[in-house]
Amino acid sequence: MQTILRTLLDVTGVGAAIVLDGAGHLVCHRGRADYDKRRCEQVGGNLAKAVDAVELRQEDWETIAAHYANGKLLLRNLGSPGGREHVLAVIGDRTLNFSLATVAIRVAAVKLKKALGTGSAGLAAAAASQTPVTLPLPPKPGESRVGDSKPTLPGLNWSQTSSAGLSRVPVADPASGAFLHRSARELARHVGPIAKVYVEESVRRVSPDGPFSLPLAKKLVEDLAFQIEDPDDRASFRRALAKEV
Amino acid sequence: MANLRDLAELPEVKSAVLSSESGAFLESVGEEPDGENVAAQMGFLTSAMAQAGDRAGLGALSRIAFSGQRGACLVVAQGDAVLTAFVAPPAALPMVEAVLGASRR
Repeated sequence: MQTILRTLLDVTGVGAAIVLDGAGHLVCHRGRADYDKRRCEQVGGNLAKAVDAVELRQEDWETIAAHYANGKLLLRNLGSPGGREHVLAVIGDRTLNFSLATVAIRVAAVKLKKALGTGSAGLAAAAASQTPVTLPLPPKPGESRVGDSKPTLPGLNWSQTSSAGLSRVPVADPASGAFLHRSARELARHVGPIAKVYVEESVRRVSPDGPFSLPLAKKLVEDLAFQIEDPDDRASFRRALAKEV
Repeated sequence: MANLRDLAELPEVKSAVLSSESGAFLESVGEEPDGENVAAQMGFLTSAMAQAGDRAGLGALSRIAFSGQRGACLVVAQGDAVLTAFVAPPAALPMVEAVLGASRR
């Protein structure tokens, strides 16, 4: 799990990554020098209360994002792998790229669920290796680090941002698959490489019980359009796919 | 603070509640049957998140968004007021956030 959390710290602006159990106890953490174990435990205690409040309204919550004057706190529900509830929390400063961090957290969550699902042995090993790590401070605005222009995230290939990840999405026929690829390409014009992740999520929403098929294309386009903030861009996206729905 | 009724005119906003920082119910619009409960819960949520942010050195809390498969919720803290908007579908959350952000500028 330490390795998974370490990957999150590679994202510019991330100060700490924490895994909490349902009671708010620290299961595992990784942070820069100013986020030691004690501090992460304190933050975790408050986050557990916040999660309790969210669950009163929405028991099936998936993500929580809190925005502050100087940064963000991003939470992802890891469910109950191994029979106990867990939450991944990421602390980011002002330089955090929200979209990029969201993708990184999503990828990390999948891996953490697997790691936590391996049982108590994995948790014990994680607890035993609670050693804070000191990393270089993030670059100041205007500075750059080698490799910053192409951040590397597990599961994402920035040289193939068109639709490579969509191969995991179940489709009814080749035409439906081709439509998803075109949708991801059009969406990427407005939101960037995160488009394929949005398409995957959207397919899960519009076709939760079976493979995606073309009769659901209109619903998918409407769902995806909400990911585009600018109204003109949103209209442009709808127009580009209108003749196919 | 964004106008509660303007916010409720967005079709993606199913209901909205205005409350105080301490969790006291002030006003609601839309399909919300239990504004007082929402006010109390969101007061607790904003308090816990504000404390978490304080301990993490992130400064003042401005807003919280949470979402799941069926819906999403946006909680905006400004001064002594807390505005809560329940959004569906959840994919509409960024758009509602953008509208709220624009109205606060």
